[in-house]
Amino acid sequence: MKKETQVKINKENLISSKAYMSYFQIISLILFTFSISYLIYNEIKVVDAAATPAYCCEKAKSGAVCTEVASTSECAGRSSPTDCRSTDYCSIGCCINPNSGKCDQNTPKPSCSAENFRNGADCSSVSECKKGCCMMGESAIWTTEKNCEIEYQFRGFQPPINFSKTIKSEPVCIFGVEKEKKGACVLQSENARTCKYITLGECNTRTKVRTTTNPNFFVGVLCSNPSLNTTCKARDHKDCMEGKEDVYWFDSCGNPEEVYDKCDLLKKSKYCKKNIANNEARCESVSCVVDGVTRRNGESWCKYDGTIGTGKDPVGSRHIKHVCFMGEEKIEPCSDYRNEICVQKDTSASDGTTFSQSACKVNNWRTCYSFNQLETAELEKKCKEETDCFVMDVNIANHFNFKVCVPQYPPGFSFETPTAAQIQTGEKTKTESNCAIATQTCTETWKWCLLTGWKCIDNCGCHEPVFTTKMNELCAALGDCGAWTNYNGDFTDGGYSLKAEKAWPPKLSAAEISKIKGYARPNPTQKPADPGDITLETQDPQSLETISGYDGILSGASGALGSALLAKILSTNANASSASLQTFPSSVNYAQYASGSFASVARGIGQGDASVPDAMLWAAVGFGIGFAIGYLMQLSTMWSIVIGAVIALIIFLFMYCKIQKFNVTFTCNKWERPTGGDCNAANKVDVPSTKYRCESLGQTCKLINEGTREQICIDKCKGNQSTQSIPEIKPWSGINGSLPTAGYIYRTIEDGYEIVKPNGGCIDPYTKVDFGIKLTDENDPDADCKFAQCKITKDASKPYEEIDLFFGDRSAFLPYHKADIFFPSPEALRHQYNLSDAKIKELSTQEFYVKCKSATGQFNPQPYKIKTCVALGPDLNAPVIRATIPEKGSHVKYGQESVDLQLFVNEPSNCKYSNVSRGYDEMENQFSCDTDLLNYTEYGWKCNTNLTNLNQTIYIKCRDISENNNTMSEAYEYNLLVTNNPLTISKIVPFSGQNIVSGVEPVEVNLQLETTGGAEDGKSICSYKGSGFEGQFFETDSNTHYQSWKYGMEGDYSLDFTCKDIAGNVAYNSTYFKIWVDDLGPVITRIYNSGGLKITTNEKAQCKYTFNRSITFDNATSMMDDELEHNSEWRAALYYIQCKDQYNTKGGIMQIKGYNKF
Amino acid sequence: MGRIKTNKQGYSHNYFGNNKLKPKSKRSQITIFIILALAIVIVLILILIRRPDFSVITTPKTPVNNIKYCSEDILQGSVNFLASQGGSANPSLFYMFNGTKIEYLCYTTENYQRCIMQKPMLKDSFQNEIEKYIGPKIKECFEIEKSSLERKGYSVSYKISNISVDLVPENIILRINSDLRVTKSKTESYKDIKITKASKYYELVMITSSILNWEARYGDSEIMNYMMFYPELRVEKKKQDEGTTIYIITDKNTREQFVFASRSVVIPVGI
Repeated sequence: MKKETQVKINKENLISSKAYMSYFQIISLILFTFSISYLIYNEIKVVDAAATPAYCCEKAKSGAVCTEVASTSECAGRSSPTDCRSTDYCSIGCCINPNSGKCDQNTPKPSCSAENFRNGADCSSVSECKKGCCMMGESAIWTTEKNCEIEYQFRGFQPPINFSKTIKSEPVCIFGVEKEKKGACVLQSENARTCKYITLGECNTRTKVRTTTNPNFFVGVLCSNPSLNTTCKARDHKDCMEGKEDVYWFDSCGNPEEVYDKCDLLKKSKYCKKNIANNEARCESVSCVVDGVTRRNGESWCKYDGTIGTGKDPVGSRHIKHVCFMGEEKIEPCSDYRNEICVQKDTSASDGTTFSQSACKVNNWRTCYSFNQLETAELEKKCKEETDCFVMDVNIANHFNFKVCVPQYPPGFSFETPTAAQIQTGEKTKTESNCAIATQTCTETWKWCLLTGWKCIDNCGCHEPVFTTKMNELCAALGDCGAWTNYNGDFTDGGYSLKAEKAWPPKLSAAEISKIKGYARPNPTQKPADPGDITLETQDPQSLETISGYDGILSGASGALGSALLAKILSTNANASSASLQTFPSSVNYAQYASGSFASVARGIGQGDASVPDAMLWAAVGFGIGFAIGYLMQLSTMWSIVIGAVIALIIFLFMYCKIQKFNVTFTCNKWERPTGGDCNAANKVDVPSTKYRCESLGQTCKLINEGTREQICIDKCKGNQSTQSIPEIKPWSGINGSLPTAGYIYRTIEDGYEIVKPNGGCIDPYTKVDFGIKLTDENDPDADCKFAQCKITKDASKPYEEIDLFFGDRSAFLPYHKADIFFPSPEALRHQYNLSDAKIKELSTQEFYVKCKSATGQFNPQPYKIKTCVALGPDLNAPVIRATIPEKGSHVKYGQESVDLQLFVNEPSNCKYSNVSRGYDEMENQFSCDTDLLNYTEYGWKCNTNLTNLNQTIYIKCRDISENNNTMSEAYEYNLLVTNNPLTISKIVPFSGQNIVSGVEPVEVNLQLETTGGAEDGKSICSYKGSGFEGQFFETDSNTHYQSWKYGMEGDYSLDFTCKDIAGNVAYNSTYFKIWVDDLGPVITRIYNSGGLKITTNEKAQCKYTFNRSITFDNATSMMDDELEHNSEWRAALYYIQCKDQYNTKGGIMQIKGYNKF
Repeated sequence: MGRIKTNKQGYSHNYFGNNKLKPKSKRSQITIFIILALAIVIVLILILIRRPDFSVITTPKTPVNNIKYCSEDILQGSVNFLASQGGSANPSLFYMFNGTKIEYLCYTTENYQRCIMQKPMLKDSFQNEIEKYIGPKIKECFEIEKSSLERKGYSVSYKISNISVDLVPENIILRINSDLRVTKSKTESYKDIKITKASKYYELVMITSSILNWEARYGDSEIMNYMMFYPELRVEKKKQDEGTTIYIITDKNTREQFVFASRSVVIPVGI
């Protein structure tokens, strides 16, 4: 039987003044309780990108050598509480392999024997590791000299080796060198005279000849040459040669002869191929035809899932590099989460065609945020210089406009679910923090006049569609935030919310949503990402151009844009060197940079807003005029007053206006994954399915069989009947039963619960009570499918989509949700709004309704009810000071004479202070306090003052505004720590003008600073900048600061230092120094006999001599060295003398012949 | 028109028709077959004699050869297996890729940092790992041969003193320092076995070293360069979610593969 409830509504009651007051109070209460975090700060908490390992472990249990681990228990070898770069046992260097002659970069000390380890060295600077071209017969390899010897031995070539150090690059070595020429090697057997077309070396091996001339070898002569009289017949058949592109003739003995058909791999993209069916060799195309476009061999190009650039990249999209290699299209996906972008450059080839080259380059989106701390002009300049960033002009209203540097290609974020602890404490996840940067409040100014009503007069664009559209674009440009689409075209709008105190801006229009959905498709006119200033460094392009037959295009084929590795380095620092990587930040609070830029926006409150004429003044003027008219009309004084009063009243009515400011807030949340998405869309062949791509398709999409061939994206809730059920809401007890707040309990009621004291009493006024709901049980195997997004409302009949307030202000799909409630004293409400007892009683009881949408898209049809009440009665409690800004005991900068002090009191109060502790009424200094109930902040009601005598402790007392005027009996003591001396950089190493001399590069330079003064006796954090380097000192936050540069190269260096202490004292200083490499050995300037052989050198040196022609410095006899002079015994013999300076640089060997005089 | 003669048995002879070649009896047929067979054998012998560079090579089934065949199969299978896991039999520091544990040869846990070489002297390390891995299996080869010979009545003893593997250009050389004694009526002694197997693993390991040095120095490598410089190679680079890169280097001719993992200059997700 259907049950119907009829409610009779008296319309007059709905529009009475009391009703209006009730509406206002209800809205206010809701705003109080659920929006407090928006009212003061947009504080952003940033969590480190990754847990920072704390110990350097020599050998980890995981098997890793010299790695950082979080705990010593993970370590099987030595460990120290530092990073490995700062330990001796894990120092990094170059390891020379004596067996292969090869060298290994970045080798940890324990992995290499002591004699083969070059501590701290880059292999490129180790002489044994210098590479050159090793030519062996017809082939050449780019390797070390030692390895060349070994290769000769392995391959059966006779020494001496043909090794060239003058050839400077691998391609020139492999393609360009004059290889050993081939010729006919005649092999005579008893019955036949055969032949092989090989090199002289190979012929010598076959014919067992050990001389450089071989009578059986005929260089450049083909085996079929009749003059050789061999059994080989010319042009017997055509075939392909291994590693050669052309089709060759072969003689009957199987030796290659002249080219039959030139395939021209680079120009025509053809290569010799043998048809298995007819055994015929011919030139066949190795181009790739992709989407109707012919791509030449070696050509690479970018493909994108959707629109790219200007912050438009769809969620889950990935940049893919495609390569045509020998007729086969290969894909090389760039790093996921758009951590790398695919850049492409098209160049015109000599035949008029276009040759595309592409590379995966690191997406430098983090840099964009750092520019936002700059002034606008500088911000624009720097932002435009960085190709991965762009300047977004958010111009919404006359005073709400700003420019912000945001990523050109927004990064992807992981779809992490906050932990139960994060949900309970309200701590934001990394993604939420990042998106919250675009959460902004615009303050509109409205004018209310008696006759015209409300009218917006400033920042009026903030309640127009442009506000929502533009702020959403900003939100989405930060990463996977806001209302956006994934690469499959699934649009969701859970990533933003709006809140307005007066006029609400509309939600995104259908046209705007359609436009955003379109970003899931590549824009047909879009150009590939710009490579910026990336250049080829892997090879010398000049040298490539000289290689015969390759026409310079090889540089393109091998990646003229530079490899991804170059992109990584060059994007870090334009003057990239290996040292620059040392300055790469390991963790930076990017959000603080970003939020800094918005600080200037300051809600867009304009200066010089339209002022309201003082209606009373004009009324007075009107009264005067009216009185004057009456007087002129010779009316009685009474009548003149009446006329004046009427005119004054009319003017007052026309002129009476008031101005009020209202906030409009755009909240940027992380992008909401769709419910019921098509998970299978991630299982495409052309782009590998990854966790990010899979999860971006839907709330229930999950990548399974990770790390196996069966890795696939599935809908984890599909087909599971239990997971398709409607959300089941229950009270959440929090972690360890910590919800609701201590002193309160949940009491079950029909369709929900109420929050009460254990004795059934109501919540105390001015008390914040936390409470929560849960959607799933801890041990539920289908928990993931029951995660839900929840909203809360006072109107049970409102459809889910129309409710604006998320439960606990979190839009994510979670297993638990937590919110809090806060009531002011009902008596205070009565005091401020003059409410009746009945109304107060009505307001003291509140009912809220919770509606949720599950990950599978199901809603709870019956709203879940949460009921609360606040205790009635007079306020008998004195106010409490909850917080101060600056905090008690904070440091104050040197020379600062005043501080703006803010107090936060738990209830509306007035506060005073004095230099001595005394009664409230006797205190002589008053705080300016905001006692409006509506102006509650996260910490309470705010009071301000400007403190001037900073050395003294002050005593503060507050008195509430209740009818009892409760006053603090004990004063709150407040003091600050004043800085007495400025912060100074007292010592700099290297000092200005210092020359650092070394015999070899790289040179290790140790930067050192000492700081004095400031808030904590010099303790500060110092950084350096200059000569292309920038960073914080490795050891700092002390009064001594160290930074080691292990790879200093020859040149002039100029560095500026900045140190900052806890009080904000800043010290600046600078230095300039020179690194000079003394690569010239000592020169012997004088030789004479002075009771023995005596020589002088042009610099301090150590000299040795021998009488053996093959002098080795270490084995020679030392002379007696006295700085520039060196002595030895006298002999009438030929001396071989060599000296080395203090940097171990040796001079030339000098021969000196001694003669005895007779 | 010809005449038709009849013999004693009454069979007719047609000298102008097919009947001329028809055998008159079973015995004559056999005679003809024998003559033909002899002719074929003679022709074959003549051919063989006239072709000095043609010879039929047969390998005697000596105990050593049996062990060689067995060891060669083991060597190839083992090296393929180890190479598919980054050169380790039981990778301790690995990335699970397509269900296989792939050893990290260059690794760092930290973001933005270049990787630390985990296996410098990769060739030596790979050789050692092969030696350790195939040692017990080669012993099994000896055991199988021993059992086989013992079943035939021989008395067999053997001692393996050392097994060494060398990766050299275009070959893998397996040396088994052993002493095998087979006794029946007399004692035969076989010492040291050397197996040379055509293989491109030396080249693959050298390219791997080169890639690792790029990873350690710059945090990445450009695989197109390798494929252009060494056209016989196919180099695949598969970037994984959390910063790991899987490299698969394949020799196009032999289909031999070396697979390894690297984690270098990792850019973290989000802030």
